[in-house]
Parts: sequence; C-alpha cells; structure tokens
Amino acid sequence: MGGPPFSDDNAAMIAAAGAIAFQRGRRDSLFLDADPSLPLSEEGWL
Amino acid sequence: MILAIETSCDETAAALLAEGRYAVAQKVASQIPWHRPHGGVVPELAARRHMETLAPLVEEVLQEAAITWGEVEAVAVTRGPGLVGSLLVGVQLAKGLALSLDRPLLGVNHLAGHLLATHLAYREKGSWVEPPLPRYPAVGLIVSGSHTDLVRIDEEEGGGPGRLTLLGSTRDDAAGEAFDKAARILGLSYPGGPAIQEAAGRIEPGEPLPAFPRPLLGKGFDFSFSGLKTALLYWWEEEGRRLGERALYRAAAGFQEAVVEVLYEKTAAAMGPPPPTLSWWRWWPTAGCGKGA
Repeated sequence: MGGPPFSDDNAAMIAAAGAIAFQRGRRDSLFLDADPSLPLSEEGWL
Repeated sequence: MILAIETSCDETAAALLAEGRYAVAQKVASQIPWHRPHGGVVPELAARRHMETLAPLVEEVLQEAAITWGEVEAVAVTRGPGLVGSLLVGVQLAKGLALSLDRPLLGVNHLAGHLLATHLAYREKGSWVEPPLPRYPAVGLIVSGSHTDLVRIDEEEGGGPGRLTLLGSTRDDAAGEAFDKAARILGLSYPGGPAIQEAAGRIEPGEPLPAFPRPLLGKGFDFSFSGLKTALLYWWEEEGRRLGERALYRAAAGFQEAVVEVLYEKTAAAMGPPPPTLSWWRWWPTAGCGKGA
C-alpha cells in the first residue's frame, strides 16, 4: 500500500501509471486532448 | 526518469519518478486557501492558479532531483477526468515539454493513477520504504471529493495491472462531496472531511450516535450519499442543533461512521471468495471538486 504522501492528488501516481505505459511501449501523439469525462475503463489505459 | 504533471482539480503537482516507483522529487501546491472562502472548488479560479503555479513547480522538481532536462525520458500528464480548464493547463504544458525535449508524451487517467499509487515506494526517516507490489487481479476503492469508485483490476498478460472494470460508483454525491455538504450543515469549515473527522474524534466512548441510514447497503456496488446528507440535515434541524456542542460531535461521528461502513462493506463484498488483494483503500476526506464545486 502506498504511503500517506500519495493518498491525495499528486503527480507521483501519474508518473507511476505513465512509467508502466512507457515500459509497455505506449506513446501518445501531440494531438492528445484533455477529457474531463475520461472513463475509467477506457481501452488501452496503459 | 519520468516527469509527471497533475492538474485535474485544485492541486498543482509535478514529480520525477525513477525506475517506475521512486519519486525522487515531487511537489504539490494546494489551492485550498483560494477556494475556502467559496466553500468549494471554483473551476475558473483553479485553472488560473494552475497557470501561475505549474511551470515554476516543474522547474523546482528538476532542481530538487538535481537532474537536467536531458535526463527526462518521457512526460506523463493527467488527461482526465477532472475540471476541463485545469486539465488543459497541464496537458498544454506537457505537450510543449514533450515537443521541445523531443520525448514521448503519455496521457494518464487520473483514477488509474490513484490505483497505481500502490506501486510507489516512499521515504520514511531518510530511507526508501518499498511496499510489495500488488498482486492482480485486485479490487481498488477510490474515494475523493468527486469520485467514489469501486474497481476491479485484472492482471495483464505478462503480469502487472491490466483491464479496469468499474464495479460501482456513486449515483449522486461523491463521499468527499457529501462530507463537504455535511460540514456546511453543521457549520464546520471547508474542506469538510478533516473538519468532520476532527469533530467526530471528540465523542466519548459509548456516546450514542444518531441512527443515520446506510444507503444501498447490500444492494450491489453503487453508492449513494445524498439521502444520508439529507438525513443529517433533518436530524440536525429537528433535534441536534438545540442540544448543543456534544450533539454536533455525535452528528459528525454518526455521519462518518455511516459513510465508512458503506464503503467498507461494499468493498469487502466486491472482493468476494476467493478474495483478490484489496489493493488500495484511499480514505482521505478531501476538498470537493467537479460537480460539488
């Protein structure tokens, strides 16, 4: 279980997810857009 | 080294992660003092604060980690869900950095980030603490100002986290949002979670608590906290308010107990037999965001 510093919103958790995606070869284009309703169960989330 | 940016709501955050789990530098700039006078997060204000704060914060994490831009391997950024104006600030800076550094860009689901916080090591008394990595499949519970989500995390072929399946979420107020509203009813401060927790901690052992409902308990994996908040309002207006300070503590404790019991029981039910690992219990009553603003 992560420690208390990572319980609230933080960027380390984004990096943790990003690192797994990076390792698995995912790359997003510069056309990437913000999605305020991004579903949790989207395909290819990592 | 992964550089990450998070601006989905009212926290401006940047971090540098080494080897997939060591946050060698991370900073979070809270906006709570700016939103407190409004009793909730003001989206326009949040975006403007991110604009002012984010770029200097990114420079600060590089300085703290004592690395150069050239050592950044990729740029990760929260692309959603969240407040659109806030998200755009982070995404635009991340795209600019990825372009100028000629490094890969990685858009990350904020909620997946919460679930994968379980992969992070953390510092304690100057040393790294490395919790064992979660075993998948697992069940995760995300509780915040705008989310109350129960999630199944499958195992990816080759190991590690895979497909996410939303088992249940809130039908109305998120748990954190309900705490904010409950605090407002009781005349407590914003953010409501810590205020209610503090008041609830003042009850005496054995002191009777109001019998608040446990919404949707035993009825699937969705949550509903709006009715619980209304029950608190009625109890407070019809009975509690005239009883004085101790009634306020009892109301806070009763409300908190009802919310936590529902969260716990539904999570335990989702784990089911045979139990997967309870991957993550995020219980951190916090500022309201999104629809609670």
